[in-house]
Amino acid sequence: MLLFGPGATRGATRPHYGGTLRVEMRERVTLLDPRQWPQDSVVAAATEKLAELVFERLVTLDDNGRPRPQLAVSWEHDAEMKRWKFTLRSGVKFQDGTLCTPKEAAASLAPLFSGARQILADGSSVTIQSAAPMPDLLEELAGGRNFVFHLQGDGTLSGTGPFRLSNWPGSQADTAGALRAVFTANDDAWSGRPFVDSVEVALGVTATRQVVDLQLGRADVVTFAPDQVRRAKQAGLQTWSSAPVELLALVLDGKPEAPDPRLAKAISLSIDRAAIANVLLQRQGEAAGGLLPQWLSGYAFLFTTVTDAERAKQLRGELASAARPLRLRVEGGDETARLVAERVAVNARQAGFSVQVSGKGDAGAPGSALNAQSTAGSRLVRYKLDSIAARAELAAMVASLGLGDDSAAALKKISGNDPEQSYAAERALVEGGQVIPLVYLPETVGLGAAVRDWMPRRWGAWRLEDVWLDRAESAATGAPGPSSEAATGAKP
Amino acid sequence: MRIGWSRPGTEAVLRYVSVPVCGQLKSPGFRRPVCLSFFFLFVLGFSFAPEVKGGVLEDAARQLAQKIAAALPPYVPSVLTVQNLSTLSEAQVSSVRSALQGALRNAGFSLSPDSGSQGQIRVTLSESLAEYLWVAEVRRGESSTLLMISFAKPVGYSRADHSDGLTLRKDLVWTQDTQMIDIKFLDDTNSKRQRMAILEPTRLAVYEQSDNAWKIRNSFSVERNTPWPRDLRGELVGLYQKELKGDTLAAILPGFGCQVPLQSASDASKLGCSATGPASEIAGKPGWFLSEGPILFDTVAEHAEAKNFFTGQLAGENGWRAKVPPFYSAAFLGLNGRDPGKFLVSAGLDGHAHLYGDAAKELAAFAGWGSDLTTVLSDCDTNWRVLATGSQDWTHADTITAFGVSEQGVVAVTKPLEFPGPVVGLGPEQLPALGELKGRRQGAFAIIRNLQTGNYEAYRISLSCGG
Repeated sequence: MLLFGPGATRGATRPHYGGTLRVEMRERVTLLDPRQWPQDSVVAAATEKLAELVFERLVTLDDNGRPRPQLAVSWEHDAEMKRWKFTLRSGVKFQDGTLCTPKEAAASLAPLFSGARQILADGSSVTIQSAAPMPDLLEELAGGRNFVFHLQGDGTLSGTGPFRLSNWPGSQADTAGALRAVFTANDDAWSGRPFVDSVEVALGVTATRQVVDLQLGRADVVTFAPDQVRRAKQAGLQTWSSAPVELLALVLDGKPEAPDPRLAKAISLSIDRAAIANVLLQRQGEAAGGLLPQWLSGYAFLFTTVTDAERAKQLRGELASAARPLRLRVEGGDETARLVAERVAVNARQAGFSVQVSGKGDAGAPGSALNAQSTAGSRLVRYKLDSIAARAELAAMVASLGLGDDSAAALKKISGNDPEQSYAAERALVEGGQVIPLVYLPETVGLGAAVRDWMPRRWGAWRLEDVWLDRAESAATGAPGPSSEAATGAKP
Repeated sequence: MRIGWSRPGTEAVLRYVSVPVCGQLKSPGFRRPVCLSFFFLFVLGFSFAPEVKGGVLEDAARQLAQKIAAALPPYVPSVLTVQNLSTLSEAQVSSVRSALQGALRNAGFSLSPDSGSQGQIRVTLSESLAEYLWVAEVRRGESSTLLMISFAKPVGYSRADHSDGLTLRKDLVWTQDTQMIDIKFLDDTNSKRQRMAILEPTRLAVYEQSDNAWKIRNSFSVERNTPWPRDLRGELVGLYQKELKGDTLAAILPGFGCQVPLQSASDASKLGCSATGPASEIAGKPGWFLSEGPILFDTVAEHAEAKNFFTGQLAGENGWRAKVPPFYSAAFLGLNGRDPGKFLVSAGLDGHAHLYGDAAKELAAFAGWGSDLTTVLSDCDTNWRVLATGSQDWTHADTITAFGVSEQGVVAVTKPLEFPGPVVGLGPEQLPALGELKGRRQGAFAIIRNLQTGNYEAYRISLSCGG
């Protein structure tokens, strides 16, 4: 037999079957139950990534954010968008063998919705109705915790997704401090069996450890902190970044009294967002003047991110309340947020403010110099986007960040997909004085050499069911990966 | 030749027509082709892709102009600026600017390049994930108004895209935002209708050309109880169906097949589907036809159950059997313009392409090709060529290159033809068994998933002479 062509190059366009995909995440997801969803948006986003392996929703979104059928094959609504009828895909079974009927779908979604909505099941469809219009219902159903599941007799949940949960770690960490969950391919998935045989997820792995594991071929997919991305690229590691999906923002305490909007404006004008994005976050972030990133709203360019220290000083001079020290708490305890908070404090001090940065546990401690009684309060928050519909996302943000009932009520009045109204509502939120947008961050993952068809959605949904592994190729090229690890004698 | 067709009470038969190419057969090759069926003429040369309905952007521009006119009295001399933050091309922006200017002038505006004008209209063409968002900031003196319109990004036909100067040429013939598995053009010589069939995971859609636009003629639901493989593949072929005494359009999918009489493609009840499909049976399972360009062979390949590749089991008439290593795609070809069907070329699971000769004997292996290939007969020199995809995964833009194959090896005869996404399907242009060789240029269809838009696009690939 003759062999032509460069032998090292293998053709590999169509997916291959087999193998275990090893994933590491920083977040400690403790439960995969749509009924008990995490409040913290960052943990909720990580939970959603894992839940999507096991569960499915009525509707999904394509790469352009357009609603597409998942468990529902079609839908229709009345003129006012108060009543939506979804026809379910027939013959779909949960992983425990139970048929996914409209009754099952309605029973699983009902506890996830607020009381203002009714969910009814009939022969082949599910109807959702409300006294108020639901223009974003499709986007809402396609995200967050709105999964369809079957509650089994032992209290566990079964889904229709591409993987079965075969091991959940509980609270028992391994020697490296990580929790390990295992998902195995669902051969009977209506959408087709995934290409990998299983997905092994290590939860609660530190960012530093993840980089090492990727380099040594002990992991195939890891999640990078923003300050690691540049070094990872320099080290030749394969990375992928989503569109900006996380907002770092300063939230001024609304109690006991609402903050003076001029205070927020003065602080906002003092902040050098470009320096935070380009220097501190090593070009991994984007300056944020509004709450929603440009790719989501289309109008983010209308919000200014300009720094004007002189104007900030002038405004500060007009404010009696500015004389009080501003306490800035860093939530989440991660290093990136801490660095950004320190930088905000430096900028604000240059404009004449007194800002004290504290960790989550520092505030209000007895005898602390940061006693809440003598200071104005604020916190630096990380917020992960929850929806791709502007109005729904603003509503979720208001609820998660505690931006007030008035804002929530104003958002409810927005009719349908009206960008002018969404913009006006977002403008009102930003100028309301309680929230100061700082930077948007993408989600960045590192990929092992064997990972193929990594085709996540732009907003970060991973779609691990489409990923496949080319272990032979990673061994042939000598790139980091499990096969090359064996060649170099490194131990897992 | 008779091939098994497992629908109760029916059987499918490939019709034979002698054509010169078949007459050239001199030596038995890998398998002898059983030649062709010509009950349709395939009309080439017509315009595949109706032009973009350019009115979408212009209509939006007029809509925005109306809003501006309502906000700013027309008698105020105004300066109009347009900036683009979206993915619209320069040409499209220019078109929008012209439409805006025209609409504003029609509304009585006096547009001036003078920045000192009383009115200022600053239009920003922006976009979100799913929509275009155009923002007009209208200023008059100290007062300012913000106006917005949004509209969904259109999905539809695209203008033909010619790659001038390349021997291998692509023409965009169809775009849609849902998954496409195979596409074939049908042409009924009796009625002169131009029809197109598109196979999707859940339906077989038949379109008809009318007023220079494709309109859906019928949609046949393709449903089965067991799940499809995640990387679903399928092929459209033409068969003569003895029981129905007519020609049928058959959709062959893994472990499944459907067919509809072509003459009654408007009658949805005529679509018959079964778990065995319109193909020869191999070990009790349906096989897929292998083709040589547009020629449908009686040789079929067994598709692996619930996977995306073929097992390598081949079967033909008179109980003929052969086994080659598993492959993702395979096609027959002749050498030096002779002996069609003498060789089989496959894209193996091992990442190599393999050339087989008599009795499935492997003659050569090639590296660097992707998983999809097909064969075409060049008009220019009457040589068979292999069209092969590139070797990266589906996160990358792909290429198709034409290779010449000889006993001495393979050589690229064209530059790689680039696509805006991975090639997820590659097959003969004509409906196999319905094509005609004489006087026809032999081409292929490539289906790609556009990485920028997420849409599925079908391209006609052809070899043109002289570069």
